[in-house]
Amino acid sequence: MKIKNLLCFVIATVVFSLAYAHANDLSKNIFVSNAWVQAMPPSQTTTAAYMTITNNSNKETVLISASSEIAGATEIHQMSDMNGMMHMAMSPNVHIPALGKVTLQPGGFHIMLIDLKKPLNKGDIVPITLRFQDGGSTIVNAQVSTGS
Amino acid sequence: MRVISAILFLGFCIAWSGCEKQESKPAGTDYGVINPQRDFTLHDQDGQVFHLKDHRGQIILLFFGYTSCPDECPTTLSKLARVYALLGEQMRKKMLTLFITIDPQRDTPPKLKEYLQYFNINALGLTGTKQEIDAVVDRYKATYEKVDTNSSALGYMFDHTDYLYLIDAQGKTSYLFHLEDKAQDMAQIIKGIL
Repeated sequence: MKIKNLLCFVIATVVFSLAYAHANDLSKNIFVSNAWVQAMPPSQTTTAAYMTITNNSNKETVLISASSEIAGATEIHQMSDMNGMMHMAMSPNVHIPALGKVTLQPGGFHIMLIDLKKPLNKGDIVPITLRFQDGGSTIVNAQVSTGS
Repeated sequence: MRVISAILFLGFCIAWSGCEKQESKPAGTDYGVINPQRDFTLHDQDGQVFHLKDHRGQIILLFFGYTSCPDECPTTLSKLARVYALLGEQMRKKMLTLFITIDPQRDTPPKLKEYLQYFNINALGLTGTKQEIDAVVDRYKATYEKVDTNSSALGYMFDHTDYLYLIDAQGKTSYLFHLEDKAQDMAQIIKGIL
């Protein structure tokens, strides 16, 4: 019994250490800046979040999903100009190249916050969790604003 | 004879390429040459009949959108707030922004009013039947398309042109702005026609 407990402890310690190292690795390589959420009238239940994601590693990273406690659903969308017509569609992911960055901005990639659980006021901070293909995740604090 | 034909052909090409450029004008350039007055009648956010021709003397910024538009419409309206700030109080009094909904089913007049008030610009929401709105869309050579999004929690969205029309005091569409245009550049152009 004691050996079994010891084995469980060792396995748990190894798993925890690996997860911690991975989290540290992600925070070292992925840097998110200028995160903001579009301010909307109180009756609106949908808005969009924007940010710049920088990948400092030598390997491409892929944003595969996002979530936020303030929204019932969170989706990655992309606007594109198709012969003068702005077309919006869901996007399964966002590829951030090695040693590169991608800016989520109006008219391009953005994170849709759908079914907002409460109205957002200018200046509010919205935590958004970003999940990446390699299993890592990071939390971004985006401020509600009207953009620049 | 060959020389004359070549000159004529060259002249035709230049004239034609000029026409082509007019159809796809970049933002912030004179749009009035190909654009006649495009008056229309719709209903405003207070339920009153709105005739564009009744607003001669004002500078109009007109665009087509919908209130549940999460990206382009709030971005444009927020940018217009910065344009208005750059114009100053005297010029702002001559300005009127018209937001014509392409989603009359969801955008009721009270909803349009509440939505536009938030952006703190002198904006008026306009609506009508789908046929009435489509006629105005056609008149301004804009387009839109309803897109059902079964895979998204949004339900449905609209693809639409991002044109923002600047209509001068004589009712002529003078300039065409796009999403990527900067507030400072837009304010400069508006000051030029005020």
